[in-house]
Amino acid sequence: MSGLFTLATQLQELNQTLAGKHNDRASRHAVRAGLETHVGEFKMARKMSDVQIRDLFQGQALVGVDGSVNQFGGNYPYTIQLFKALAKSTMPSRDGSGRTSVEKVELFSPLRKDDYKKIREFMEENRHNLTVTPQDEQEITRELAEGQAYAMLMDQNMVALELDVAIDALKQFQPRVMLMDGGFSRLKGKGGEKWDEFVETALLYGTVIVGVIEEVGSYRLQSRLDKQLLEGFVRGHDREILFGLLEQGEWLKTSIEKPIKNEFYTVFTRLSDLPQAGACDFLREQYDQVDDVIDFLYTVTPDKSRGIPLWLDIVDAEVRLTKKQIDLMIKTNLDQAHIETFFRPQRERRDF
Amino acid sequence: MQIVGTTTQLEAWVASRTRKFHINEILIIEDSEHRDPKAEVVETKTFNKYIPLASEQNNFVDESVLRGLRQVGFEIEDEEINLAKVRLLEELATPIRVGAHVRVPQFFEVEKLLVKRRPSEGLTFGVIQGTREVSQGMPEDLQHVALVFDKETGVGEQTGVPFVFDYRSMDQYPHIGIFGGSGSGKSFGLRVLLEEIMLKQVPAVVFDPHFEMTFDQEFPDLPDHYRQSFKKKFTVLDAGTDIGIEFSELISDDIVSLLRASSGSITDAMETAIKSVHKSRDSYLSFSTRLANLAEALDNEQDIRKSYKEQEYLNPDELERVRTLHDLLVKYKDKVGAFSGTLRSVMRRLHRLEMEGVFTSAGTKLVEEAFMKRQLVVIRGSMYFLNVFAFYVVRKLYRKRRDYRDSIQKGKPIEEKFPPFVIITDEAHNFAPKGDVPAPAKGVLKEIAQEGRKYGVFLVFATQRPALLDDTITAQLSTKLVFRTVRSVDIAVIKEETDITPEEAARLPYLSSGTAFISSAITGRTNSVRIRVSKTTSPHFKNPFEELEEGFAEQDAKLWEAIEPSLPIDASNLNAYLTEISRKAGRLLTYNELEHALEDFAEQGLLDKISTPFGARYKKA
Repeated sequence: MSGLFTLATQLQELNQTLAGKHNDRASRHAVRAGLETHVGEFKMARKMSDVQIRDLFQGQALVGVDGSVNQFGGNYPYTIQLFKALAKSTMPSRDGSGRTSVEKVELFSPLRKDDYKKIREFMEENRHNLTVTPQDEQEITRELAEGQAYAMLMDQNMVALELDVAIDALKQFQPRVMLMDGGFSRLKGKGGEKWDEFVETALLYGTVIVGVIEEVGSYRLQSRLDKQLLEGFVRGHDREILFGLLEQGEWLKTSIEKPIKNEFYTVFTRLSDLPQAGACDFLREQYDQVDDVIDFLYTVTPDKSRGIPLWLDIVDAEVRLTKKQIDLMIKTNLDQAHIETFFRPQRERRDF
Repeated sequence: MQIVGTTTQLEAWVASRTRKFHINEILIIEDSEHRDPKAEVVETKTFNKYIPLASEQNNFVDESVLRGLRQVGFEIEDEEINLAKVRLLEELATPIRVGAHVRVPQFFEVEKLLVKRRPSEGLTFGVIQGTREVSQGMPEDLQHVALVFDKETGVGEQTGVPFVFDYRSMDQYPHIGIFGGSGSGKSFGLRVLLEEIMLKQVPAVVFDPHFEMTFDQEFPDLPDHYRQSFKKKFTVLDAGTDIGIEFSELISDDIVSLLRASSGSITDAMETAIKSVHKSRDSYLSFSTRLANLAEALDNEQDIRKSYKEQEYLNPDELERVRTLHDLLVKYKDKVGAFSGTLRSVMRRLHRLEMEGVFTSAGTKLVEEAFMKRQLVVIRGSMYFLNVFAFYVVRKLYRKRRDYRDSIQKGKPIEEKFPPFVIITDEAHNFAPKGDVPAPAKGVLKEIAQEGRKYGVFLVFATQRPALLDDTITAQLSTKLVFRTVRSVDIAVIKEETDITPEEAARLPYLSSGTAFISSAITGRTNSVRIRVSKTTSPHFKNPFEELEEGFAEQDAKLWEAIEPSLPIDASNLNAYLTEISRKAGRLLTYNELEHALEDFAEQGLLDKISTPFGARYKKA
C-alpha cells in the first residue's frame, strides 16, 4: 500500500505543477488573436442542407479509407502481422458489380523465408536510418537491427496497402470526396511512389482527398506565436494550444501562403462537442474546395463523438479485426504445437 | 442465409442481410455431411451495428448526420442484419457446419413433417405459422381449407400450410386440452374444434355453461366455397327439461355426491343416513317417503313403541302406520341415531333438487338418440346444474359404451349398439378440480382419462386455469392447444405437461388472440398455429349497455305514439287522458309517469309547454 501512497503523492505534485503553469497562461482571447495574426482566420462551419450536399457531390460517392494491423505472437522474429485495408464507398461501384468496398489483406511474418529476405534487404537499404548498426557476426545487434527494420517495414506495408485500396477505390467509384484516416505526412513519407500515384489519380478524377486527424500531434503553431503567449503552456504542442480554443464547428483556416506543413494544406477543426481539436490535411491543389468540404464534414460528424466524421467511424469499425476473430483464425489454421512453440507469449499464461 | 457463430449439435444462428426471419418457420441447412438437416426458427432478431443502443460508449447518432450521409448514397437502414436462432428437428451427432448455406425448403421437402393427414381425413384447426413461403406449390386439397380472420381486415386467405389434426390416432394418444386466458381465443378454438368434429360426424356431448354453443348462425362475410351448414349436425338439450336423472338408477354413493355437489357439503351423519336408508332401485318417492316416516318415527318414538305394545286398541289404519314406523325404528335407529334433524336435512336437500327438475324420467334418452344419428349434443345449464348432471350423463353414456365393447370382446350377445363418442367441456377445472375439492363427475372423468381410449371415449377439456385441473387428467391429455396464458402458475403447469420450449413458454403471455401452440404426441412436435376462422358464430348477445339505450328509446317512441293523438294536453286535467293513452301504449300508466313523460318530451323539444290561465298546456312543437 505504501508504494501506491507514494505514487499518489507524486501525482498530486505533478498536478500542482500543471495547475501552476495553467494560471500563468495567456488569455484565450490573446492566443486567438495571436493565431489570427500569424496563422489564419477562424471560420464557423455550417451544417449543410440536403440540397447543398447534393450540389456538392453531384451524384458522386463518399469513400472512407482505413487500415488495421494486428500482431500475433511475442518478440521478433516469432511474430505474425495481419494487415487489412478497406476503402468503403457510400455508393456502389460504377462497373455494375454492385460492390461498395475495396478490401485488401496481407500476412507478414519473419518466419517466412521470403518475408525474412525482405527484412534483410530493407535493412541494408536503410542502414543509415537505423539506430543500431547491424553487425552480422554479433547476434544481438543483428537481431535488434532486424527488429527495427522490421517495425519500419511493417509501417510501410500498412501504408502501401492503404494506398493500394485507395487508388483502386478512386478508379472504381470515382468519388467526390475521399477521407483518409490520419494525416498525409505518414502516407507520403512511407508511401513513396504509391503516394504520388494516389495523388495523381485523385487529381485526375477530381476527387478531393482529406486526411482526417482526430488528435493533433504536431507542434507547428508555437514557432508562429510570440514568446510571451507561450509561457503558460507546458510544452506548447499544437494540441495543448488548441485545446478549448475553438468553438464547436469552428475551424482555423490557415493561410495558404504561410502553410503549416510545406507539402500540404492543413486546417485545424473542432467538429464535435469535445474541446480537443482535430486537423484535416488537403492537397494544396484542392485549396479552393476546403470550405465546402469542411462544412460537409461538420454535417456528418455526430455532436457527441470523438470528432471524426461518422463515415470514417464506420469504416474503422469494419476494418478492425477483433481479438476474438484473430484468435479464432489462428487457432483454426495453425497447429496448436506451432502456436505454443513460436507464438504464445509467456504473459498470456499469467494466472492472475 | 448462412450459419454463423458457434453452433451445437442442436442449435445454431442463421444470418441474412436481406431476408427477415419468421418465427417458427422451417429452414433447410445445406450441410451435406449431415444430410441437409431441417431446423425451426425459435427466436428472431434484427440489428444494425451502426444504430446501437445509446450508452456511455455508444452515443445515438444525430439524425442530421444520417441525413447528410443519405444524401451521398448511404442508407444506414440497409446495414440491418437479420438473425435467427434455429433448433434442429432432430439432434445430430456432431455440431452443424458453420458457414453452411441455409434455404427455404420446397413444399415437398417438408410435406411429411407438416401435413400428417389430408384435410379430408382430419380436423383442420388452422394454419401453421411461418409456412407462408413454403406453402407455395402446395397441392390443391390443402388450399383454401383454413381461412383466417383478422380484426382489422376481416376474413382473409389462408396464409400457409394447414394444420390438420389426425384425430384417428387418438386411440393411441387420447384426449385434448385447450388452455388459455380470457380473450386468448380459447372459445374460438373450441368452436373450430367442435365444427370439425361435427363435419366428421363423431358423436359428442358438450357441457355448455355459457349458453354459447350453438351452430346455426353463420360467421359473417365468409366466401361461398367456405360456407357450411351445421343445422342438422347438432342438438341442444336443456338440463332439467330435456334430460334428467332417473332416480332409480342411482346408488347411495351417487346420492351422496349429488347432494355434496348441489349443496356444497354434507355431514358425516347425513352420509351415513343416506347409505343406511337408501335401497337399490329406490324411486324418489319411495326413498323420500321412507326418510319422512323414519323422521316421524324418531320424533314420536315413545308414543309409537307404546302404541305398538297396545295394538289391540288401534283401528286397522293406525295399526298399519304404527307397525311401519316401528319396523323402521327397529331397523334403522341404530344406524342413523335418534336425531331426526339429520334426516330432515337430507330431505330438504333432495327436495330442492327435485323442485329444480333434476329428477325426471327423461334420463339420457335424447342424448342417446342424437348419438345414433352421429350428432353433437349440447347440454346447457348453469354451472351448478351441469356439475350435478355431468356426473350422471357421463357415467351412463360411458357405461353403455363400455358394456357394448365388452360384450363384443367377450363374444356375448349384443343387446344395443352404442357408438364411440367425445366428451367436451369448457371450464373443465370445475368438473375435475385438482386435489381434495369434491366434484361429482371427477371420479368418472378420471376413469375415462385413464381408460377411455380402450372404449373409444375421449375428452376435450378447455380451461383458463390448467393449474386447477386434476393432475391425473392433465397428464393424460396427449394433445394440448395452448393459447395466451398470463398467470405464472398456469405457465408452469403448461411447461411441465407439454414439450413447449423455454422460448415458446416465454412467448405465451404475448401470443396474439387466436394463435396457439399445439403440442401433441400425435404430431410429435409443437406447432404454432393460427386458428382458422370459424364457420359459425355464437348467438349474438347485445352489450347490456347498448341494450339499455335501445330498450329505453323504444319505450319512449311507443309512449310518444300514444300521446301524440291526444295533443294538446292540459296539465291541470291529466287524469282525463290517462285511460286513453294507457290503452294506446299497451300498459297502465300512472299520473306521475305521464307527467314525467310530458316534461321529458318538452325538454327534448318535441312539445312546447305553454302557460295558460288554467295552468300549463303541452302542445306539439
